[in-house]
Amino acid sequence: MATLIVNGQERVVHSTLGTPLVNVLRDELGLVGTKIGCLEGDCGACAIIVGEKINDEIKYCALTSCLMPLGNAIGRSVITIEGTNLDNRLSRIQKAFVDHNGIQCGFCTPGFIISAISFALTSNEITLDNMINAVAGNICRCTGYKSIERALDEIVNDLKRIDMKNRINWLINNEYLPEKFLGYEKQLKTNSAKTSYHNNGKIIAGGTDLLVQEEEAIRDGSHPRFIWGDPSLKTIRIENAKCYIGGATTVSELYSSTILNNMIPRFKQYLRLVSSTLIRNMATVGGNIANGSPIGDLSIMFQALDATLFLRGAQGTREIAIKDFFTGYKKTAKQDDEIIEYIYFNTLRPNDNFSFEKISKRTHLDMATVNSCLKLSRNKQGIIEQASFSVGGLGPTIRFMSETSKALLGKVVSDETFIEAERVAQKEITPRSRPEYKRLLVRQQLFLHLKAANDSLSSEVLR
Amino acid sequence: MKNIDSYAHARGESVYVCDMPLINGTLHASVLGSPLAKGNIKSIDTSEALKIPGVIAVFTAKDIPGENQIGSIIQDEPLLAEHEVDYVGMPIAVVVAESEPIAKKAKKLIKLEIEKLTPITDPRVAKKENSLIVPSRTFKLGDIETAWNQCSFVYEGRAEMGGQEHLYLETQSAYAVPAEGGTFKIYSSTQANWYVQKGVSKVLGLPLHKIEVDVVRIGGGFGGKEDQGTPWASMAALAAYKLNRPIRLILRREDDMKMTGKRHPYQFDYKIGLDKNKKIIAYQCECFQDAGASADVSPAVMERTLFHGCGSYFVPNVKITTHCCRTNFPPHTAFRGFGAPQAMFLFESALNRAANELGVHPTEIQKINLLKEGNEFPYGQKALKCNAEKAWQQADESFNLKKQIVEVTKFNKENNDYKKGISVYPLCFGISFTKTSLNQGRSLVHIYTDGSVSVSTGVIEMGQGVNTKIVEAAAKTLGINVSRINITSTNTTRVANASPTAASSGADLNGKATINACNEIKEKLIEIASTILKCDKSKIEIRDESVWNENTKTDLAWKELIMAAYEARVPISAHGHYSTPKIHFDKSSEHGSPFAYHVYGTAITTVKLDCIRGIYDVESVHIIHDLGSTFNYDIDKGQIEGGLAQGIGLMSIEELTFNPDGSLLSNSLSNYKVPDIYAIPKECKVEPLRSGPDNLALLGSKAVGEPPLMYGIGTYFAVQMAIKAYRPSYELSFSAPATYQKVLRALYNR
Repeated sequence: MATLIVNGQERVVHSTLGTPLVNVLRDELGLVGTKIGCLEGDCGACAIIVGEKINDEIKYCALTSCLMPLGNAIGRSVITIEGTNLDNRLSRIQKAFVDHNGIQCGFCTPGFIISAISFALTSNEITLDNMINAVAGNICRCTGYKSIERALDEIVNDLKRIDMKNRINWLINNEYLPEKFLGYEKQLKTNSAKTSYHNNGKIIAGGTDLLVQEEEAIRDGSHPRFIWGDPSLKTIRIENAKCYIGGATTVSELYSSTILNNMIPRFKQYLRLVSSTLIRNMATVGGNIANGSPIGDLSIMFQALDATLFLRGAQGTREIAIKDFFTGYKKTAKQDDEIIEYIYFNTLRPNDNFSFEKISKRTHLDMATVNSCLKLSRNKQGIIEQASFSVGGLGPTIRFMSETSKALLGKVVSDETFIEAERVAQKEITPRSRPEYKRLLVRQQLFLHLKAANDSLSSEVLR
Repeated sequence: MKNIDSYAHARGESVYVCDMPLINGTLHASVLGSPLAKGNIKSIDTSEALKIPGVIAVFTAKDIPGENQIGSIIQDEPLLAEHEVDYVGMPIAVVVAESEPIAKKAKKLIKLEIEKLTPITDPRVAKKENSLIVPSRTFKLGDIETAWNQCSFVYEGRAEMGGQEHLYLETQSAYAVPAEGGTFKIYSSTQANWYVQKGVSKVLGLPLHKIEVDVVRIGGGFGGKEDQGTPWASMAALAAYKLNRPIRLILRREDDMKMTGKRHPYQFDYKIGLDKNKKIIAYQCECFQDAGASADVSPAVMERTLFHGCGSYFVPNVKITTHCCRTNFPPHTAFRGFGAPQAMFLFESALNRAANELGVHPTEIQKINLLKEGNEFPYGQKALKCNAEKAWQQADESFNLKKQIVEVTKFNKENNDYKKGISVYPLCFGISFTKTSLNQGRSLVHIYTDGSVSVSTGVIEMGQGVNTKIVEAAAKTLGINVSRINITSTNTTRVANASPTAASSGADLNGKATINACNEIKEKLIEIASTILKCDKSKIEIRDESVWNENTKTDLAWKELIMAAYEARVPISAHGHYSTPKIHFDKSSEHGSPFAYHVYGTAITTVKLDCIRGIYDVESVHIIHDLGSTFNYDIDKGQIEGGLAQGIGLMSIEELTFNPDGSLLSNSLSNYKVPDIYAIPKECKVEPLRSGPDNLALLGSKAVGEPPLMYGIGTYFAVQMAIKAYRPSYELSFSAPATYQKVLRALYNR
């Protein structure tokens, strides 16, 4: 039995703590406006908004309730489409969707509305581009999205008037939210439910991988250990030229981090290729690494940054280089009881180059066919002093391309350097599936990384 | 008028099968599918599954009281595999439990002993082994054998097109409830409540009148719920029959993707011949349709491939042959376009091949070969009110085709790592079920004594806005406000024997039936009004909610008129029927006039290819589309944009992948990718063709469901042009979809 705050009301539910929240909402609480489309976070039909009390402020985000275990919702404010409805009339966002015909069969609609409301609740930079990014995890099979875009454009233009300092009241006064929304906030502020359960079972952070792969085991497992949102596991800071990132830091927190965006100029663009806003709001750094995926986007990046993991378990703490962490397909050196408390790496120097490439079947919200990352340090003469090339999608684990990285040392970035490094890279890899395509992708991506360091590289070398 | 459902949709208040409150005692079902693509079932052991707490029963073929058969066109599809399995995912057992997760867990404990046989996974192999579902068919025009001699250029080759997962957001769902007197009420997410009724009736061995099927709406269908809503409803009904309890069966996405059929993949051989003026003189092709393991609607899909063999072009000498090949995949089924996109892709491939060989832009060949008024299709029908050239011209004028081509050429000269490609796609699509008997619709209209109106039809609302159009048609006919009209669920007890909502025909057939019903009542109402007003009934009209006499509004308002009719004991209900006039088709001669009318259009597509990464964006699609005279442009435009996106998906990123053993690899949303909001054209301009109303269309507004999907074909050929711009020696490839993998390998010839 657990107590959940849903749409401002305390509700007692009986599902196990590992049950996907969407099932709790629909089957136990009858809140059927939240739809089930895929149960793997790839369609957004089950999007909900979750509010969390941090110090005395409430932070909101939208996420897919199919991948959120009930345990992660305890102590937070859960808001479903029903909780955003105004009495007997459409909210501003709903009205825009209706006016612009952004609705056909209606099954995906509540998810889109939720994502758009979440944007209104959270965005500090009101642009259409950012709004689209907010709904990019929502799939619609009927409209072709153009009508939805027109609706969003109208909403964004209206939202430009928003009073950021007094956001909730503005949104209520402008019919984006119902008046009762203030009650939801009050309810959360006075609620004393614990934010996490320190049990001994399976460790679950964001759950975005585990609930897809082990849904049954987690649903039935009696004592999962929920660490999502644990403040002691959340940090992004620089100390002594090292950058520390807490294991439970979400990808969205990376996305909006000033520290990381200053260090890596194209960081936001890279992270937009990592899943969707709905998932990034849940997925954590530690989870992405611990999952041991052979195409983990963050693992690829951290490996190129030569990062070290700090693990804490029953036996104490230890450090391990990320390069040594992956031992097989979805297998890692982590013991079951260990948590990735944080990860750290040397901060990039102003001259360093860091670039990330990813190709998948669909450009956004997809798993990589091949993803790769190259970090280069060059001296004043432009000679490469350090190179780390990391590639995913070629085998059971992500690869650190030590030979290729070595081949770059002592060279300047030039067409010849590319040709030589590419030759080494092709020897170093043995892609198991779709070998011709993946070899080609490694070549193209290596070229793009080097071109990012020296724009005068000519694509003629590829012909 | 906005879609009448959109208010509730936006608030999350619309009810789909999965949202229905459960009746006490409801149990949940999960379906066990075959792990093998072909084999003989030796034994099914359910004992371990039955030991799981909460499991109530497991049903297999031997539990079926009626016939184990749900095939609609041909009786070749068992509901549950009995002796053999024919595809991976073929339903074998239905597990019923207190909850769906328990049922799902239990089904893994069912032990199957199946003798493994070698599956057929290639339609060409199926043809060679004579594994055909129906005999092959050929459409002919002119004299193909002598025509080749008149050609200056002849090209032949192969092409292929992959299938497509429907990916309706709402998965297949059914809720079967036993009722009094051995009857059953079935709530189903189907595009064809009559088919569900027939399937359940046969499986339970009960007459049709004992089975009531009710559909409020479905969460997308696209053809995937035309035949394939039936098995799940039948399995739920089977369990409800055996246990006398309500049964809910909702497929999980992975099961839905594994167990249901898709758009048919096709393999092709083509041969095209042109004279020295680039007139296409002869066209011959052979189409190997991968029909899957049973007929489903494949023979009808194959027929539409024949009908659309030449697309929007006139060719005087034609021979189109199609083979309906039985393979060991799920039964492939209806999908928006229904065999036509495959035929059109093939013709366009042949045409582009010729253009490439001749070193001209494909538009030079396309333009001079478009259908003209009176041209004969290879099935005997003449192109009347032909808009093929008109649509092309309007596209040329409105969107300045010449300038667009020049700009693309200029861009390609100035850029090395990015190349653009531009293509034009002319569309011609026939409207009507090709099976003539399906072209009938019905509608039940009741007027209540307070003046409110209830309309029930045989059409299923799946987001296409058909109910909105029908409400508008009823209001217009009766001369009252739309707010007086309520449209009810589609139910077999109100409208019987309803054709599936398919072939883009739902609005025409059921809308016109509604108009007929309304007119029948209106006639009676006018008689009453003429008695009350003591005037000539030929001068009386009902409009703006009042009776008008000689164009003057009288004091007799709608509500009073209805009450007067009731008091006079005049019927104010009617059951309207409509069947499309004139159409006919004779299969023995493969000749006739099967279509009520054709829909035309032209799309100009520009893509921008990142030649280093091998990925591309559709920059713009500019469409002229033939709507006849639209009366709800909001809804029609939504169909055009939505169909286009689905067509682009079909031609670009949507790729079904299989293991060599015939099991589906692309079995979830994480590895089968439909367009997301970033994958659609950056710019999409739509303009209605300046044409007139068509009398056989609802209020003159032509059917719009399927045709726009085929504008997506333009994307494939624009990509080919862009690849060619990067690598001039590139010989075009005709293997849809143009995945990023194919594109990158083509760019670098690897």
